[in-house]
Amino acid sequence: MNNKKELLSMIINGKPTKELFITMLIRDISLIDAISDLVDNCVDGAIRLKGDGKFTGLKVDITVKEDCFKIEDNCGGIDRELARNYAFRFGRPSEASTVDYSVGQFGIGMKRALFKMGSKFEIKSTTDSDSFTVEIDVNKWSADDNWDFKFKNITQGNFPLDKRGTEIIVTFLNPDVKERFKQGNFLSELEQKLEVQHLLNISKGLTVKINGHSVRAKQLELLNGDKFKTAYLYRNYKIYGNTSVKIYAGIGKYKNIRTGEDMGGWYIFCNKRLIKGSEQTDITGWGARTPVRIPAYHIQFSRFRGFVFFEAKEPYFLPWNTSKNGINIDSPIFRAVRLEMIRLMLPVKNFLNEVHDESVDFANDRLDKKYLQEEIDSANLKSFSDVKTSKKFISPHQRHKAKKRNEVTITYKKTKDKVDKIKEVFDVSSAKEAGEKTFEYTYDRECKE
Amino acid sequence: MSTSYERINYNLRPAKSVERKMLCEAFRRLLNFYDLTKYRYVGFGSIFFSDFTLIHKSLGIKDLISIEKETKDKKRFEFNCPYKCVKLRFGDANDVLPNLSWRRRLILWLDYDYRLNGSMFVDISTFFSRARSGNIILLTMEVTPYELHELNKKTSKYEKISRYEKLKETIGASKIPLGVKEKDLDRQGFPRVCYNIINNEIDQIFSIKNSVIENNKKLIYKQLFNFRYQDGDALMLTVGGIIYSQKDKKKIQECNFEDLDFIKSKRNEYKPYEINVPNLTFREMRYLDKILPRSKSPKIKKEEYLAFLSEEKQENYSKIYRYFPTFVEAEIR
Repeated sequence: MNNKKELLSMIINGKPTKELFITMLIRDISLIDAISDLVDNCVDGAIRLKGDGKFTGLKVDITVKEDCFKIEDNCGGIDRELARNYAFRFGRPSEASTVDYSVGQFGIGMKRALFKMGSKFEIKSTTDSDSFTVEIDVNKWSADDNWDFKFKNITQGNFPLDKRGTEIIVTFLNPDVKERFKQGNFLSELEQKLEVQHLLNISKGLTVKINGHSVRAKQLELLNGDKFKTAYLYRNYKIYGNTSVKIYAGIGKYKNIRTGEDMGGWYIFCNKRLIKGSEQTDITGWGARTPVRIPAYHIQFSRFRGFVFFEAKEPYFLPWNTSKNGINIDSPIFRAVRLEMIRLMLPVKNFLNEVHDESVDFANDRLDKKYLQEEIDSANLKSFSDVKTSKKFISPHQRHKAKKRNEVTITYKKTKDKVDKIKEVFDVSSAKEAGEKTFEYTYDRECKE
Repeated sequence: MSTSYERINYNLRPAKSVERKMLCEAFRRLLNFYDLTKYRYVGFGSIFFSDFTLIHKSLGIKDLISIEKETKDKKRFEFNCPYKCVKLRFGDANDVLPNLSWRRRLILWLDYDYRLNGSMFVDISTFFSRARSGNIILLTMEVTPYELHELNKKTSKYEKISRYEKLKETIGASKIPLGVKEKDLDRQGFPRVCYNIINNEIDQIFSIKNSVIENNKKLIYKQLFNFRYQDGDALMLTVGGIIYSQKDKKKIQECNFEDLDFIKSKRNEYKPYEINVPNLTFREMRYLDKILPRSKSPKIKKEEYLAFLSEEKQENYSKIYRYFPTFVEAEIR
């Protein structure tokens, strides 16, 4: 009897708590990224249906309102057995089958997103053969130790193509989420984010709508012309699940920093989902010392565009974090790819420096035309998949020498009233001109033959 | 590049003059609850200081600041300053506003004479982040849609960008409301889009500010003004309102702003108060005055009509007759 008591006291409780999911994990992701996660699930459905083909006809409709959030798609629905054994688990069991090249992989996206938004969920799904509904009340669910959910109803039948899909409704929204959903600016930001994060899927034909308004397909464009070639590299990593990577490095034309939207930098995609962009830190090589020296990101590089596309059958191998908004910098694949990225960006950085120097020389009257700028202005923008590429970045080079003027700057200070008098005498309006006139006056009288 | 005060004589803008008087009438409603003489008024007086003169004379406010960004014309501004209590602050509003003391209650009129741009958001943010009960904000901007010659691509005189592109370049894509399309940026739609952009910005900043205040001290923004008028060639929009705390709610209700027919406090729809100043002679105005104000129905009776003047002109006059500006050319000996 004593032995048993001792045995029991040797056991330490290591069970996870429901609080971890309801209140803690939701902090790891922003509201907009959480919604993007839900869209990822729809995309996975689309991949399940069409594979690598076009997504035309498939749609995701998002409704954001003060009192409810809804996302519905026609991408095939969730299989009943998948729902029963895997879709609602916290984490993905190793035996769960995955969709090749999918974006949902951690088994956490949907639950975390829903918990973040509110406390009552209704999930309806219709596949070709079954239809089910699950209703979850978080407050009731968290009251006891039971981690299971229950189907509300299950029906079997032969469901038509246009009825197959998933619908998720969240009500009893959390107060701060409610507050954000009320704001027009939130909807604009959501549109912006989805536009970029899902641009490849949208360009494959997927329609994404927010409150009835279609999210535009953004273009990844690069400069293309006789004199410009984008750097392109392809690698395949057999030992890492055959993960492939395509790297593009070049320049875009747009330089819009006035509105705070600096588009320069690297854009990293995993299975067609944008994870990070525009990346401007050491993670993607800015400020690196090896293998070559790259300066830290600076406004003069705002025309730089680097696109990296990682594709893997099994998302496990991709170098992303669970929130899909960051790169797993410890991933060996990423570390290797980063070295290639740095190598490819060197000639682009050199060119942009030349453009900057040209601009400075022009402003200082040492050049009479901005030759490189003109080349940029006359080149076209093309989608990354259509540009001319080569092993390394090719661009025109500055062939015109800046005029070297043998000039010296003279600076000195004099009291205002004296300077004002001189200005009157020479009939000029600036101190600079006053200085120039006094110099010329003296030179003409003392130095000229 | 000429400054706006060199192009337009501000004293001669009739719709603006009507707007100013209407605003003063609205402000006067606060007199019962707030000591207006303890308020500070901040605006952009330019060289005419028209609003400053009106505010000081009719409301008695003695702490007035005019922000002026044309620093090279300092002496001219100082010369034209109408009263000792009007102080000039030279510099951009972005820089001046945060440095002002916000101790006093404030009426701030950001009377920009140009179109929506990013620096306006900074000023809105400064105002709302220092919000206190009783503060009033007004924003006036031009809402004429972008014209063809303004849509030139930088690199080629023959290629044009769309109005949407231009707007995106000016304020950023994330500030453009969901669902706005190119056709919404024409003469009909552009004022509404600008109105929504401003209100979205106000909502966002206000929400952030309020989220860290205890429930009973939370502030509320009540829109009062939503004007639209033509100023020469430019289409103008003025939007604004008052901030108050829960405990001042009753006071605000008793101000009864909605009694004034030019008050527009509904934000969910875009129905501005249009200020239309008809061109009438003195004799015509005096005739119409005799049958104003209307007692029962707002429409003019048939027999009172001046047959040669359009009904519209007479209607417009009856709406604003009390604020009608009078321009006289006279030499007074």
